[in-house]
Amino acid sequence: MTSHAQIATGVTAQAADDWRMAPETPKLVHYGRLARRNPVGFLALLVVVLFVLLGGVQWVAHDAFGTAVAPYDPEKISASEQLEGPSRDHPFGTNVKGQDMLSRILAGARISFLIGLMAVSLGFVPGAILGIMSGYFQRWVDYVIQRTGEAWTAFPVLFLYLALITAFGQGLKIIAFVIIISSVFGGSRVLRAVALVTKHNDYIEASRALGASEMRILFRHIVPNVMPIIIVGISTVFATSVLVESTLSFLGIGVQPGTPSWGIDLSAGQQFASYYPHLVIFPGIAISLVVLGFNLLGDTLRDILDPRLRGSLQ
Amino acid sequence: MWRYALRRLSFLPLIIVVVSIITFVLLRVLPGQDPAILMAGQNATPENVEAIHAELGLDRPIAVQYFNWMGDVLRGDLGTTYQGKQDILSEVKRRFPASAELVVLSLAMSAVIGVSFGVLSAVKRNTPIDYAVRLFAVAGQSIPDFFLLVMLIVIPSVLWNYAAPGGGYVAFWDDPMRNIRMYGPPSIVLGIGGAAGIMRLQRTTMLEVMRSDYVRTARAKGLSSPTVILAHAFRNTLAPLVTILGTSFTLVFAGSAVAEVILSIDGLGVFFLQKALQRDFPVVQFLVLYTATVVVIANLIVDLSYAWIDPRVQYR
Amino acid sequence: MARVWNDIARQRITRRRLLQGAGGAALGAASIYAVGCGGGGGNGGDATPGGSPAAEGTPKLGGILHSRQAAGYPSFNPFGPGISALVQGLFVGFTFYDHLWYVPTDTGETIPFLGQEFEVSEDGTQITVTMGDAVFHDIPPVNGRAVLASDVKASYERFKEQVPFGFSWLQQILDRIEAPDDHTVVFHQNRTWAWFFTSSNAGSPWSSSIVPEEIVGDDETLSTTPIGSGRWTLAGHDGGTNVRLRKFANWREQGRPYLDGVDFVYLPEDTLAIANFKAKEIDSIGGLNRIERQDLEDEFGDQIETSSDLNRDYRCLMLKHEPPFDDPEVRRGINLALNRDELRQVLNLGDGEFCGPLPPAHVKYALPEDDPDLQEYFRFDLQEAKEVLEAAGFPFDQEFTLKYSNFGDAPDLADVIGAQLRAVGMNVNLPGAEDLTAWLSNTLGPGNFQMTSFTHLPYEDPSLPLNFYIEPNQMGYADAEVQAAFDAAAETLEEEARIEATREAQRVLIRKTAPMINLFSAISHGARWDYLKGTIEGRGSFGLFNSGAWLDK
Repeated sequence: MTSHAQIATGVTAQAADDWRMAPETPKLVHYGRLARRNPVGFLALLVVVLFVLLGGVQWVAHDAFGTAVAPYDPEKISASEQLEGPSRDHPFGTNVKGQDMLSRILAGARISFLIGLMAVSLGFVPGAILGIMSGYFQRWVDYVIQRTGEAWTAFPVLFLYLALITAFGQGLKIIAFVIIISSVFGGSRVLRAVALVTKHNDYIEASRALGASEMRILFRHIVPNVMPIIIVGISTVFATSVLVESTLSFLGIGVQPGTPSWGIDLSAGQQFASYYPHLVIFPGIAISLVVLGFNLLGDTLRDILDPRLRGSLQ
Repeated sequence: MWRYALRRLSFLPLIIVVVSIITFVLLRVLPGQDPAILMAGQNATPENVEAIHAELGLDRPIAVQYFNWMGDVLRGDLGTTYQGKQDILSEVKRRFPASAELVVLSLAMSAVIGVSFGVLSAVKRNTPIDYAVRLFAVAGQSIPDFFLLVMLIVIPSVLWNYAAPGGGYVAFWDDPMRNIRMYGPPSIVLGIGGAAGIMRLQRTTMLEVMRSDYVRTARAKGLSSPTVILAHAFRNTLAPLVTILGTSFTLVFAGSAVAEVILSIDGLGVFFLQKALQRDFPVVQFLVLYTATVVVIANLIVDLSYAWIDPRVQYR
Repeated sequence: MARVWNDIARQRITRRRLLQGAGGAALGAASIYAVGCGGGGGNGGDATPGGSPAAEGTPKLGGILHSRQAAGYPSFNPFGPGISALVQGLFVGFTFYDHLWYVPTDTGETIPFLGQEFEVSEDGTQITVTMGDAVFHDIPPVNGRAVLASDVKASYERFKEQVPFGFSWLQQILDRIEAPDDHTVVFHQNRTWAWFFTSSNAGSPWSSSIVPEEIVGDDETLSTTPIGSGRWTLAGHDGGTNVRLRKFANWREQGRPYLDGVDFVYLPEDTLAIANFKAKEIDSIGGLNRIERQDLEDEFGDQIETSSDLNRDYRCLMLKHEPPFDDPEVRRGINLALNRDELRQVLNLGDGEFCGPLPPAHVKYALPEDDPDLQEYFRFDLQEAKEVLEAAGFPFDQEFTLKYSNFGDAPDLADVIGAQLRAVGMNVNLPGAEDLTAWLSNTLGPGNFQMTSFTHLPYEDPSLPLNFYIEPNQMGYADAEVQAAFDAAAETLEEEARIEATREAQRVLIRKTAPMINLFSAISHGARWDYLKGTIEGRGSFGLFNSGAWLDK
């Protein structure tokens, strides 16, 4: 068992090392190097950024102007152009209502984006904070937060969702509400587990022995250590919410039928899947690509940000 | 620790009561939930609706209904469905094996694939194997389950005119081939979806732990690599893993409904889904109860396992 | 009178419909699929006028037919409870129970089943039926005894008590039933009602099942152990799915059914069902669209037989009879603006026939396709529509709400109608889809709408679609001329004259562009493997009575 002094020295030495090993590189060059070293992650970042931009633009266009940003009106019905395969006029083909699939995919980004945004900002992040506090402080804080969370998770969210949609009709708000609440408690549970384990690490006990306050320990040691988990968590939650919305819409209990949504498009296209694969391929790729992007990005960021791996990156 | 376990378990009845009351009240108070209207159909005149209310016992005060129902359930009488007056207990028993097999097999696949791939990926970090495994896992997690399941039906049909047999549940020991044909492919598909999450987490925590001080210490002591990995590192990665498995289990209950719908499996998940939409209160009430119980117990097992995994974690 | 709305048509089982069940009505639709539509299904086929089965060779006895079951049956009780009576009532009506007669929609000819002779009184209020001989299934407490007139009487009387849904002949027209002796049943109607043979079936043979007197009130037995005198007996099931039927050895038609039994395979998902058909796990399948049918034909060629069926269901747009829709010219303008071709194309890939006041599946009574009034009803002319509306002083700036439920393709129907009405300049607002119950009880039932669109049930009774225009109705529409025309048809006992009277009633409705504007009836397709023979194609649900099916294996 190494002495406290040894650990303390080790910590200081590492800090000194950091100083020497991290010269002031211009941010751009630094990020450029990161991108080159992590090509896949960089691509994922591009996908995510594109998606966020697309979703944001569609959101603004829809709420402010009542339209979508797309080559055709995604909701315009045109029987004569029914079920066309991909062509110059319609790169993604048309569906059974003659609607342009490319336009529908573009417009569908709005729903996916909004759901993910709300789940992360209103659900996961608050939940993560709760979880860290719960895991670190334990005792009664932990107790209260965990029992509440447990009581919540014991309650089948699906039931609540179904009860709410039969009461108030289907729509984005209800999906968001339910996903947000689930994300809160989901986030808190995972973070708690990590905080629980992390807090017992030796160097934390060492810091405490050296007289550091709880808050300092929390911010200086716990939070940086759980940051990778949080970042991975954010990307996971975004990805999961997109998947959940599309699953619910696929089952017909998601957003209003008729709203451009990737899940609804997949569901509508399923009956023609064997004959007109483009109807399911494009929505399927859209969902998968976005979710994949978030997941890969989270992976890469975790690699980059993990303090204990700093300096040992290839 | 056993006192802790007992204390946690003592909360179970409280949670069950709270959850069931909330369910009960929500069903009867939220608008749009009146089963009588659905059953009366287009001739839902006030008289008909009232008659059905009386028949179903919905005209009595909520508290009375609740106590009657709870009392019945505790005695093992789960009641009958509103539509068709089927015995709920028999229906649950009939549907349970199919759902259970699907859930257990999928989770098992996830765990096996996820953990082994995660360890492999961490150990072979930054080699092509690592990248390949990670890509596969992430892809599996990103492609929606329902999409994969639909492909599972469509592709074999288009290519070979093959279809998994429909019909009722057939236990593995009764007809292994049929059972495997019905539940094997979906479990693998669903397992891949879940494996990715487990794999990533396993890899993440595995890497962190491998770099941590006590592992370096163990290595410095001269223990060979495999021993180091297995004996020290792995055990410490179990905490988040167990959490994920615990959460997965509860998620699978809802997720299984999707698989059951697409694959025409008559299981508990789709039962719940259908009956919730048909406002069949007794079924919904019971299944909510069942889910709550399962979740609480699963969470408890998960938490207790932390103590077993990591001796530093103590429960007072 | 509010009619039953629920959809038991041979439409696709969309996922939402499957899950929702609509009190089971959707399941009923599924059950019709299940019991072999558009491709035979092994139930029925008694008198086969002009039947072609003879060309297929001599029927072989034996074998089990595998058919699709698209939804489960919570119970087998033909009396309910409530709306589920329709669901299981249809299925059990076609299988376990027998009936006095049946009127297939396409011929409109009354086919004697257990009832052998029919005598209608001069004034059309009294119908005397002489029964043939038959026995019930040999299950306690009935134990295979003979079917008597008292059983018929008891059955109808219990059906009369049920909460009616859409069908009101039992409550409104039937006065009482007598069973003067063991083989004679006398129906007394409270008015001259020429539609007796079709109306008394409640629009399909669910409310005419002959149930043994001793169990008529025994709901528990009826739900779990159906005992009838029909072609099939219940051999087993899994909680209402995977139902297995076995032939009734003492069925009144000696030598039939040819098949030993029917095993249903629970396949609610269409994709899986088609896959199972291709894999020969089921022998026939219905409810296909044009593309699926073509694909099967391309792949299997001679090995399968395909068929198409004009459904009896129909889509409509219902308008509330209040300004501005109380002006016939406004209604005429709206009708001109509706492009039935586009509707048919989008909603059913172009398969279907336009629908006048009486759906075209009622071949005998509906106006023939070339009828000039009907042609005018179907005409689409956007420019003229605008002019007509303008001339009528239509308030183009007023906002109108088109309500619809989330059931089946109702949202899509509303979507297309909304777009078409907007094209003529109407300001149409489509709120979110209403949950089915909400729509039934808050919108359709009380007539709380300006406009609403939906798909009607496949009524087998020609008087039902016309009855929608008669007081009282959800639209609040009342017209003396329409009433007179309808009554004239109902009271004309002689068939040729009644056909003409019915057609005249339709013309009246067309001329006034009555506020329920009917759009089209879908055509659906079916397929069966060629080793399944003796099926009866088309003829709506009559195919379900086909006990002449056999397997050439």
